[in-house]
Amino acid sequence: MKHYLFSEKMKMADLILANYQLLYVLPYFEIGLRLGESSVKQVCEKHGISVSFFLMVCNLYTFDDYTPDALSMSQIPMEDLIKYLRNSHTDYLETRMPKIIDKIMHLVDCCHLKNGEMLKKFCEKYRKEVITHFNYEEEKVFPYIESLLKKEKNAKYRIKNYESNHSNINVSLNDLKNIIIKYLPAECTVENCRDVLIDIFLFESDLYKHTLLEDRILISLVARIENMFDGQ
Amino acid sequence: MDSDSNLKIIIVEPSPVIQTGLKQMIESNSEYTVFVCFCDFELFMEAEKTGLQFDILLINPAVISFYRQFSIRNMFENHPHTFFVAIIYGYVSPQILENFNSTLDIYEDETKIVYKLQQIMRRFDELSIRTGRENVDLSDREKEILVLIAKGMTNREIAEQCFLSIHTIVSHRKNIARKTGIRTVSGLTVYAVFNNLLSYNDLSDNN
Repeated sequence: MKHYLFSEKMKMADLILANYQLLYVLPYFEIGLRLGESSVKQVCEKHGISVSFFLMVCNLYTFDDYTPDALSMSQIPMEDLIKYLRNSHTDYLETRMPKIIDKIMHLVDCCHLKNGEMLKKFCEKYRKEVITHFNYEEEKVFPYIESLLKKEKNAKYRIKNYESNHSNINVSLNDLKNIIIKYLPAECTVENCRDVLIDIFLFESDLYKHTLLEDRILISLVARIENMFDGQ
Repeated sequence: MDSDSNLKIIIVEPSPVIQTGLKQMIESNSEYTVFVCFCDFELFMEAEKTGLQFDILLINPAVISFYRQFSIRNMFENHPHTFFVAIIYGYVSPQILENFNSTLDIYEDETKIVYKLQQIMRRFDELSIRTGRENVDLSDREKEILVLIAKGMTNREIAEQCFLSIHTIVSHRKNIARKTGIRTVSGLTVYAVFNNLLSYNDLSDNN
């Protein structure tokens, strides 16, 4: 299946045309549009990003059965990976999640007073869940990795601890989808719900890929650095 | 136990090692349990004649005598909704496999087998939703338990209040999650209020 994957000679614009969800990925790499006819390689070099890492993310976002090979995984610059993850966290927390909650607040107005209150509460709880989740990564996990990169030893923390803390925030999102599709009153018309549902679907699939990136790639890379340290 | 709403999975496989392995993988990776395992096809057929019902049949085609392998569908005419899965560990003619809904290659690594099993369960769920086979509305008992969950009670507390075993409560919870598509307690609370199972005032102190 390898020949189906994106490659560095392809035009950057063609990647977006093939999978519009990459529109969310570009800003995380701090790449803008106005791509012209530039190839993936050219754009990455211009922005100082590792081409193989960029392609890996795009392939992961686009092809469900894609699993990166060990060699290209070992070549990912950890700084690029963390910068990418940080940028996406900021976007999730500051733009995408608040946008979804704002749109649900409009739906609250169509509901019976008390039902609306319930929905509001659910959203508040969800907001807190997402914030806690990402703050944990920003405040505990990333600084730990950065200290590893500076070759500082940290006896207490291990990346294994992080895996078990990785609560699945997609479960609540899925609940929200079910509630909107199945149980809102008739006053909330399809036209009213559609927008937020599409946002949720997109956010959900984005989070899913984001989780893959953290669970499969980040964790195994960090575990390797830890092993190198322990072996010393 | 409320067996009507539970999926009945049966394994027919001569090797006890593979039987146990599959059973363990299914049970630790899905919300389902394996109902019964058979080592021998004839024993299974005897049980079938006495009215054994099942939803998913995982069967090693090698246990079926050769001339009957091609007509497995006809043998089970009384089970039009059953999902047939072939357990594969050698060459099996594609003509035989045509009779099955899906296959499971035991030489795959664990993640792939688990993924495949989950896919099979999901396909079965979709099939039964499409054919309307499963009763999708919550039963009265399930509604009662859902309300208690929404009030923030634990499985143990619910079991004590309803005079049921914890195991039964867990299986009710799984069915509720499958029917509503909602898995978190706060999501179920929203469901309960929206469907008038619970008034908002009942919640204000503990939620």
